[in-house]
Amino acid sequence: MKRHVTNSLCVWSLLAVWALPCASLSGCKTVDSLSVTQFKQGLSTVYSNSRSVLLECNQSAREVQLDRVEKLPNIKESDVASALDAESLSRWNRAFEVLVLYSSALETLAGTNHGKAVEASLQLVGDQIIKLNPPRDSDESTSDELTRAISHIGGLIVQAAAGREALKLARDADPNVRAVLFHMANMIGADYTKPGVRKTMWSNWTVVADEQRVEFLSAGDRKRQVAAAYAKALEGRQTGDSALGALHKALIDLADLHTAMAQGRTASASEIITVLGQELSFAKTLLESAHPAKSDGGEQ
Amino acid sequence: MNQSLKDLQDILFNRVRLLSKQLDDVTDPAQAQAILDEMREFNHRVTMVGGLLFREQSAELEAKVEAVSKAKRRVDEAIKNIQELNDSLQVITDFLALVDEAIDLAKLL
Repeated sequence: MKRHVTNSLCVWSLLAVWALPCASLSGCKTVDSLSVTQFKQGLSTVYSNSRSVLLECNQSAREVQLDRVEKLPNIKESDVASALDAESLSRWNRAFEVLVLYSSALETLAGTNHGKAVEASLQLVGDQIIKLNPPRDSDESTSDELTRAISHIGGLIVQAAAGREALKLARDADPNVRAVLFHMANMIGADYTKPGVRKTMWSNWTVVADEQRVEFLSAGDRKRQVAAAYAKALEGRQTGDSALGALHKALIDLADLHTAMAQGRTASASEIITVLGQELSFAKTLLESAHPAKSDGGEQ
Repeated sequence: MNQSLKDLQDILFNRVRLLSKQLDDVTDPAQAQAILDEMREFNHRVTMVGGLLFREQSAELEAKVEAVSKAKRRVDEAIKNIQELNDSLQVITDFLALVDEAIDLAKLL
C-alpha cells in the first residue's frame, strides 16, 4: 500500500506541474489548424497561377512591342524591354515564398505533433518513475492508467498552448500579412482604369484589337475573317482583364482568410481555392489562345 | 506609389483610348494606320511607365514582406521552445533510467 501511495504521489506531482498551465489555458481560443492549412493551400494556388498570368501578360505586351518595332528605323533596349521586369517579378515571387514559409511554420506550430511528442515523452517519464518504485501487482494497472492519463493530459496541454501561441502570433502578424496581400492586389489594380498591371494590359490589348480594325478597312473579301479576329482580340482583352481581376480578388480573399484565422474563426478557403484555380486556369488558356490575334487572318 | 508616374500613365492611357475611339469614324486605311501607329507609340509609353510603377511597387513590397519574415521567425522560436520542452522531458527520462541502473547496481553489492 505504501508503495502504491508513493507511486501515486510521484505521478500526481507530475500532474501538478501540468495542472497550473492547464488552468490558465482553460477557455482560451486557439488557432484552427485546418484554416492554417487552407490558407497555405490558397497561397500556393494563387502563387502558381499569378506567376503564369503575369508571364502571359509579358508575352502579350511583347507581341505588341514587336508590331511597333517593325516600323522603327533602329532599335533600342527600351523598345523590347519586358513590361514587368525580371527583378520585380522575382520580388513578387519572393513575397509569396515568404508568406508560404510563414504559413508552413504556423501550420507546424498549430499541428498535433507537439502534443503527441510530449505525450510520448511523459509516458516514458511515468514508466521510469514506476520502474524506480514498482507497485504491487494489484496496483500495477492503476499506476499504468494514471501514467497514461497524465501523459495524455500533458499532451493536450502542450497542444492547447501551441494552438494559443499560434493564434497570438497570427494575430500579431495579421496587419503585416494584410499589408503585403493588399499591396500585391494594388499592383494588379482594382480595375483597368486604376493604376496597376490591368491598366497596362488593357492598353496593350486595345492596340491588338484595333490592329484588326485597321486591317478590316483594306481586307477586301477577307472582311469576315478579320472581323472574327477582331472579336477574338476583344474577347482576349476581356478574358485577360478578368484573369487579373480574379487575381486581385484572390489576394484580398487571402488577406480576409488570414484575418479570420487570426481571430480563431474557422474560415473555409476550399471554395476560394477551387474557384480561383478554375478561373485563373481558364483565363490562362484563353490568354494563350487569344495571343495578339496572330491567328484567323490577323496578319496574313 | 509615385503619383507623378501614376498621373503620367493616366494621361498616356487616356490618349490611347481617345485614339481608339477616333478609329470609329475613320474609313480611310492610311488615316487609320496613322492613328494606329500613334496608338502604338502611346501604348509603348503606357507599358514603360506601368513597368516603372510595378518596379517601384515591388520595391515597396519587399519592405512590407520583411515584417512577415520577422513574424515567421517568431513562429519558429515558438516551435523551438516546445521542442525544448520535449527535449527536457527526454533528459528526465534518461536521468531516471540512469538512476534505475544505479539502484540495480547497488542491489548487486
